Amino acid sequence: MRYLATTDFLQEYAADLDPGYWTPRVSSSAGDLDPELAALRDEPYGLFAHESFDSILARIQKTGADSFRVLVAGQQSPPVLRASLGPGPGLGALDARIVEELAIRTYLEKRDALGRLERALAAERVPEAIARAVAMACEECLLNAIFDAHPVLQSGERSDLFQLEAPIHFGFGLLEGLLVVRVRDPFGRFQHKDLLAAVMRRIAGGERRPSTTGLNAGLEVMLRHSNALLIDVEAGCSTRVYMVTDTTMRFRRFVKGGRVLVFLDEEQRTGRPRGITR
Amino acid sequence: MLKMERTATGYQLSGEIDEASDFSGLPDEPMELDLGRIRRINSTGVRNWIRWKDARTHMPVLVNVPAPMVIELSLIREFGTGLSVRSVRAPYFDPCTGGSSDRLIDARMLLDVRASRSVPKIFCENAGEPLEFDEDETNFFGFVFHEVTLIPST
Repeated sequence: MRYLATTDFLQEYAADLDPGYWTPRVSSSAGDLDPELAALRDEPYGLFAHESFDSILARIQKTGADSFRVLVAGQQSPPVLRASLGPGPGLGALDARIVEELAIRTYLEKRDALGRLERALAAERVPEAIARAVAMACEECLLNAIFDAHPVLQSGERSDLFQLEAPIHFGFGLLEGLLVVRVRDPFGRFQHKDLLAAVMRRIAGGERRPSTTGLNAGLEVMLRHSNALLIDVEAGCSTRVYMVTDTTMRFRRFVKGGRVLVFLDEEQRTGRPRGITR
Repeated sequence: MLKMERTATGYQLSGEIDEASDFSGLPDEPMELDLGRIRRINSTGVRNWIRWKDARTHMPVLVNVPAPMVIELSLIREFGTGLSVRSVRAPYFDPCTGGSSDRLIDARMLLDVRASRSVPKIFCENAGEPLEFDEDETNFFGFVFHEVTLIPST
């Protein structure tokens, strides 16, 4: 997978990234793209930081594509970009930032894990609004994994209080203001169409239906309450979801600012081109 | 864990609204529901809240609605349909201190939001300087245009 930069903003930071992996193609405006980039502008992947998030998503919606590799939109926090986009393939740079990991099988363990995160953020004087938002996003991420693990009842609903046979792992690390959260589950059922559906709803007007609970509602909260959302799926084996947050940001910029979205699946991880599926 | 405490005018809730939340301890009678101590609400809690609310005959008047619940009011129309709101808590940034804190926005100010489509103006108590709204105003105040009754204090 390659990342493509199209803004001066990124040029300053591209030097920090592994040149063998990061392929900076810097252009100051959409009209100044090289032919390869110009072609990619019509594809729902790549790095398009000169556009607003909504503009990119609207373009994806117009193409009708249901897959993407990397989306970066709006002005980004440099620490978030560095952590999210490199170096090297995969998301190993984020794994290295995880300093505490907890196994979760029950409701009480989920509650305790979120409490530990909140205490860690308070100890580092992370503003309350960001700490609260991050905790909400983490809870939704955990609920998504739990729903994947949890059997559906005969009534068609899921039991609210759960006892998992295989644990879900919740890890986090906060270094120099950059928080990385990782939720791992042993199921690998996440599909990019779910993420795209949540993204589409965000630009469709923002309002949710009450029936939109579980995975989709959770994804919307995760999108709103993280600077970067990165999802790595080995189908049938595991899902790893990472959320990266610059905790030094003003809350308003945090919720209104750009987003990095990365979805890796097996083909992308091994470097084979996936193309756009429809 | 959701906790409930009786007040002079109704109940005060505290903690988290989630999959374990049970609202059955709240009688179906006219009351004020002070939500100022709710820290979080998750998507399963949203579903539980809507079910509880829709089963009631007497809708409560919400007081001190915290930011996480205000967002749900705005993003999910059914979350607040039929409810009344007396006040919410909104985050404001103080340029003098460099910090953000939740400020009380009463229904009268919310009615102004509905009429003027602009964010309420709040001023620093000490310096008198204007504070900056520290959220996404479109998402945050969307609920004032929904089927929510805004009831100013008398």
